[in-house]
Amino acid sequence: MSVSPGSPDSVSPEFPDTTPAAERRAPGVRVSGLTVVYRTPAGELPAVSGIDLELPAGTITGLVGESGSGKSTLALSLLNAVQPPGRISAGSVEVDGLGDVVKLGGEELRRARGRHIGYVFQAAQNSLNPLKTVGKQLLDLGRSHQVRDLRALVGEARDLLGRMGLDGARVLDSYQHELSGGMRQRVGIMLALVLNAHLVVLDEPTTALDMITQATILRIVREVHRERGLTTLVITHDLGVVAEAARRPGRRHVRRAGAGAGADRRGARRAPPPLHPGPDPGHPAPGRRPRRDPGAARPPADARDDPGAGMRLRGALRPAHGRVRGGGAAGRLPRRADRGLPRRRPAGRPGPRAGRDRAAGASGRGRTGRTRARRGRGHGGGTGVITGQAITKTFRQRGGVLGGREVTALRGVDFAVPKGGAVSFIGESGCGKTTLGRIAAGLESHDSGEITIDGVPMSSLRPRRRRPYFRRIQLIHQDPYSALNPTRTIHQTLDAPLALRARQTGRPRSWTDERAEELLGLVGLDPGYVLPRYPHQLSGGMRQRVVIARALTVDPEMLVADEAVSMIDVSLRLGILSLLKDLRERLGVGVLFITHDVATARYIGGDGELYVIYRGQVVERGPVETVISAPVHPYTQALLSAIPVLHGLERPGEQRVVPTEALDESRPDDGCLFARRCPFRTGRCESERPVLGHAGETPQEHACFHPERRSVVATPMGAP
Amino acid sequence: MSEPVVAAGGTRATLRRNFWRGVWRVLRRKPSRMLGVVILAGFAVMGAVGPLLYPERLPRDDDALYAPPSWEHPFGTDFEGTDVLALVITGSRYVLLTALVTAVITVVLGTGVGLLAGFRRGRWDTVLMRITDMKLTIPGLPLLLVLSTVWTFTGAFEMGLVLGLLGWGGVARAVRAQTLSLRERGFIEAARGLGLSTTHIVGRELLPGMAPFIAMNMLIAVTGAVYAQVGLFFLGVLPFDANNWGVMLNLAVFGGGALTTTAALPYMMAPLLAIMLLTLGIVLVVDAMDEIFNPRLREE
Repeated sequence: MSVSPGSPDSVSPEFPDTTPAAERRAPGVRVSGLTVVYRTPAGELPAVSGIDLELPAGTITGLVGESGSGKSTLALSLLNAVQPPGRISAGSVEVDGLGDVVKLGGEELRRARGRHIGYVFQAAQNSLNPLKTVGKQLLDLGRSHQVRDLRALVGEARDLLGRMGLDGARVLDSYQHELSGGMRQRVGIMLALVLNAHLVVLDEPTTALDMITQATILRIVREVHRERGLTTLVITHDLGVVAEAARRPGRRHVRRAGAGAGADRRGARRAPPPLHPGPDPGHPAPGRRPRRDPGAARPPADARDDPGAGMRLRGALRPAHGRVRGGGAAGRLPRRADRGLPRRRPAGRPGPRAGRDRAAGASGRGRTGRTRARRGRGHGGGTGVITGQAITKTFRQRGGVLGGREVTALRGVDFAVPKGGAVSFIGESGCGKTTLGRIAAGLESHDSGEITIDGVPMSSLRPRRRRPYFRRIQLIHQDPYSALNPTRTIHQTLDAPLALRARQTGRPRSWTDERAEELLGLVGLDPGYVLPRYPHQLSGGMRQRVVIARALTVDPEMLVADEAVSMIDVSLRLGILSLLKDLRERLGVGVLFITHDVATARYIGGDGELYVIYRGQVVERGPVETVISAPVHPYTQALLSAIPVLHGLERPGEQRVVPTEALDESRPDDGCLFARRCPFRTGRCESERPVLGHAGETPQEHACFHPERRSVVATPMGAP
Repeated sequence: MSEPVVAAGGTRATLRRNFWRGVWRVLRRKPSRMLGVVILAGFAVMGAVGPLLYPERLPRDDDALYAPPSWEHPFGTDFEGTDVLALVITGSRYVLLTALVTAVITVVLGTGVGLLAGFRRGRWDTVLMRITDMKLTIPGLPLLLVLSTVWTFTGAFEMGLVLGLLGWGGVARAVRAQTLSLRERGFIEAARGLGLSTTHIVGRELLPGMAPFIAMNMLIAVTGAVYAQVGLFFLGVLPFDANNWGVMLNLAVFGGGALTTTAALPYMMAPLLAIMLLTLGIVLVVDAMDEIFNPRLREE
């Protein structure tokens, strides 16, 4: 380890650190019988009840649980930092060299935080002070911990940032808004480590970061852990993140945080044994969370009526994390998908299961849809529901006297979605994929290019006349919490578009209620329960189902699903995804799936096309399986290799590392847009922009001058 | 076929009932809110029925000018020997009616302009907001002084109209800001994508979300209007021939010397007390508005 540990004399004499830093080692942590309660009007509710947990010295431990399961509360208890109305009501947290943290108070506790226990907060990228430079905040930290030699502290910080692949001096001189999300996350890690803490808690370290940045951060966590000899606790809702963070060191533990309720069943769950790599006879297959007690940790209504609840018991992950080649995942999925169905299915209506069986048969509608999808793969052939040609879009940010900044979201994108087909757009945040989806749904105007719906070019119509066309394309929002009007019941929400539909088609007004129930049944909800309720009374998964049902009220030909599951609990995601898949098969609705996650794209649109978008340009396009198994563009390769993989499952190759930030913003973008981050760039890449095509005889289209170089493995970024 | 319809129809009826039951629950949650409602109801009754209980010309008692409080005259009498309580009650109609008219005009105009500007954006927004800004720069008091030379403000409606036209600017600005933030929400976009009419989007999707804000502004506009008109009459900048609280204050202070002698003190205190009580009632009820219009807080 090249970083010099803080010397003992950097500690203020008023608060002498009893342990010389040189002797400070990764402490072990033993949590026993920890109970944290929150005061609510309904009495004290336990968020964490009677948890026993051991973090052996020098290990990475993952703590996994869905939102509301108490994992963040548990982590805060390690610092004795639970805020009112919460309080630690019982139990102890023994940290080597510190004693029982729960008993610490005042100055002792304040010193322990930061010096002994480093904490990287959830959304650390937003926890920096926007008014101070990083360096200033570092000095504040040093002063409040009575560090005498601030110069050494700054040196240490610069060193740490350097280890994480950043220009330390520049970062210390920057304000929060001058750093990207991944850079801020690294700053958060630096601040947690700079005082030489050897116990580090990372709360959701990669939430809200794109895949490549996530992979980079996890690698840094892994490396820093090893080099500094830390005890690390990673809290996340994503098992893949834990697996990735703990990839190299020998010992791994996965602890599960259960929700506070159902404490009486807790006994059985205390101190779960480590989840070993490879199948363990006593545990579910790797990649699934341990089975949980039915109904133990959810409000009864939720458990009863959320169709996802059944699935949650099986502990589904993002589906294609089980990146099983061929039949494996597909073979498992229908069974799981079954669990996403309503308990009470209206009598006499064939359930989705029946539909699925039909689809599996020779004459199923799903099959027809798929065949059509294959046939319609040629672009701009006129058979598509929607095609876009050379779509460009530039956002002008107002500001300043001189006209403000321009952000180019799309640079001449062609796309086509066949009837009943599935097309997936993937790319990192800010690449323009959401803008493209919104343009396709008619919610955003484009600057140039042509959108054609059912063979009718939209530019030939006046805006008013375009509406019925765009109505055939419905957008499913990313955020089910803002997509439903909080002041309207589900009945009111569904009734308005249905009433419009009834008027248009000359159906009686009474049809709307009948149809609303039918649609809710279709998306796997119990109409009797859902209809009279307000959105806040439903879970995230149920809301997203309502959003889908609302989109179906106008009988759309295509759904644009914009990150449709990213804000839903991991365990409920598969239910929504299989619903979308099911709707495709049963109703022949096309799906334009926008995501940053290759696995979900593969699950929903495995038979369709995959578009990889980078900075507003399609850099690779082809059948999903082709692109995934043999990516050509370096960006696609980086994206694919960034997927966290659970241990026990193979990874296709070494992680391809590309810098997560554009290196030099000042240079003009004449050449390839990816050139700045590309490990293979040549002179040509910098001066000429490649266009989408089959150069190098690849089966898929790509925009790279050097498709033949793809076997080269890049050197890790940030190595000194 | 008909069964689900019946069921859903029932659902709708249940919903409406639930709203009022929710309102009741919200009010009951804090006793202060009930008190506020009782006070406001009391003033409403006072303004509506009170003046009917007294003859057109209130009786005078020439032997008891500025009489101290007694069982016969709880707040004493005025300079003519008229019962102060009777004056407060008969004067309340003008004050409350003016306040109501002001509040309605302020809120309707302010909300309308704000919604239109925020929802349409672009040219509408620019034009409407420039008008709003211009309106906001017109100083109210000098304008009223000028107006009073040509207009007598005998009727509550005229008074309310003028105050309302002077007061909608702030509400318009605030409603516009709210609209701008709400229209970016997913459900508004979804409604547009589904092809729902603008009337529906504005009336059913946007407006309910702003209901607590609008209701609060309405109540606050009432207090504002009461202060404004009482203040104007008190200062004596408006000619008066009718009776109201502001006139009473003016006469008590400038005629009776209530600030220097104790004799006219009850005469001054009575309308002041009424104004304070009204304000208190409004403040207590405003506290409940957010919970009443937010289904989440209402149902809990």
